[in-house]
Amino acid sequence: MIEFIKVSKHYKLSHGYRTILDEVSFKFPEHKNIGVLGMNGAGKSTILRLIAGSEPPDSGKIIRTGRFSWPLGFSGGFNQNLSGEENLRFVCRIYNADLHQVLDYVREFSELGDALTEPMRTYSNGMKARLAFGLSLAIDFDVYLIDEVMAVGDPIFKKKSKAAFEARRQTANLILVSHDMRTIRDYADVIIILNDHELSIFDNVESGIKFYQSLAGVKP
Amino acid sequence: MSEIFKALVVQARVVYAFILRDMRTRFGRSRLGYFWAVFEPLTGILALALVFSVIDRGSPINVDIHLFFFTGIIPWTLFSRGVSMMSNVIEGSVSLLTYPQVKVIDVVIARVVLEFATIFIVCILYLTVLYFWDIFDRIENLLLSITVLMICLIFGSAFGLVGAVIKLYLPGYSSFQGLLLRVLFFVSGAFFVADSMPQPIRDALWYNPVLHLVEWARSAFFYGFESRFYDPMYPILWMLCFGFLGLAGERVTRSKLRQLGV
Repeated sequence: MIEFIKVSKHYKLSHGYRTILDEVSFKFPEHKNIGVLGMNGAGKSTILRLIAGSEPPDSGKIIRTGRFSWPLGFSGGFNQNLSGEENLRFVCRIYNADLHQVLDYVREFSELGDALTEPMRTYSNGMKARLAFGLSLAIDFDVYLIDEVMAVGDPIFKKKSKAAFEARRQTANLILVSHDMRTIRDYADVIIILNDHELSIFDNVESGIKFYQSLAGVKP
Repeated sequence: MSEIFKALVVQARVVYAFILRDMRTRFGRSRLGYFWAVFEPLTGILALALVFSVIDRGSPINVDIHLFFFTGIIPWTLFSRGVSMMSNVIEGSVSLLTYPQVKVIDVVIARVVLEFATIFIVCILYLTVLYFWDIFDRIENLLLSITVLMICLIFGSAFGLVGAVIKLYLPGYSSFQGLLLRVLFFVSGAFFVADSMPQPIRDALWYNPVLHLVEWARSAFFYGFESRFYDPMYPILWMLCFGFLGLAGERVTRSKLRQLGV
């Protein structure tokens, strides 16, 4: 599904560089739910963006097969001057998704009602997140990328999101970044740890978490 | 081969989606968008006509003065719209790059297509009015006129794209570019023809590629006007060089956008 070939990624700081990955070749396991762990600032979110294809590596190659979502709940790709519905149309077009099916699903899921035809700059953050969340569920992604945020909105909507998400998980896999070990235990089948500009895989979730906690200096 | 074909299909889909989206953002929200598209060139033409009538000057060549300004303002508008619509293309589309199939070049293509279509319709509108006014009769070489106008827009866009890349490193460049455009307008032949200029000035103006385009456009448009000034290859070379520089610059900055603070 996704493979890194000699991938390097650096960020330039005001003094020197921060290295996220240094010539890493790595094959992500197929049809598995993957939990990504790493210390603060190691670059977990960057890894997710590399996987999503929203940021290219400095050097090396990333081979993807299948459709990867944007990080769940991300609403930055929406144009604020267009209505929610117009934004949905745009995303459907670029993903070649069935417009009516997606519109119906999102209308029902997001509970935005008439607000869907209003410009998005009038939306609250919660409304934007609901729209983005509904949209990512409506498009058939093979892999969903999750950066901490699993569910949005008030408790009732959160519950609904979780349920909808469970349904999607029947056919799709997750790659998940989280600091919450309970979430990781709930969802991940394997653990990938980003440490020292390298990726390492743990087929056993518990031993992965243990290794991460020893890195973080947390007593088990 | 089928891989390339598939990639092209995806790109066509993305460009199409952007054209529809840009139509919405430019024209959809209010009628003002259409209004400006039509009346912006008109204000230029009328302002120049007013100045010329005040200083009691006629058209430099043997055609109606409004039509003369029209043939100068339209190529200029295409060039300058190209520059301005590209100057924010990199920052403006950075959040859209979250969708992996979207590339900056798709936004560039979509804007160029939409802009050209808009100006094309505006031209037809103007020429229809001028035709019934008995000012405009026919175009000498329609296909060549359209081609020259297209070169104006693509050269402007390439110029703007280079500017968008420079701006990432030197934020002060935008004000410099604004200044440059203002100067360029005065030496781009919107209100004169090169052959009427004294030799030394004409020699200096020869380096301005936009003047070549305007003279070329007029030569293609008017019967009985053939400028001896322009060389078609000169602006085309500028367009190709800037196009290459702009695309290469975009490619180089693509993985650095986050660090450049966009």
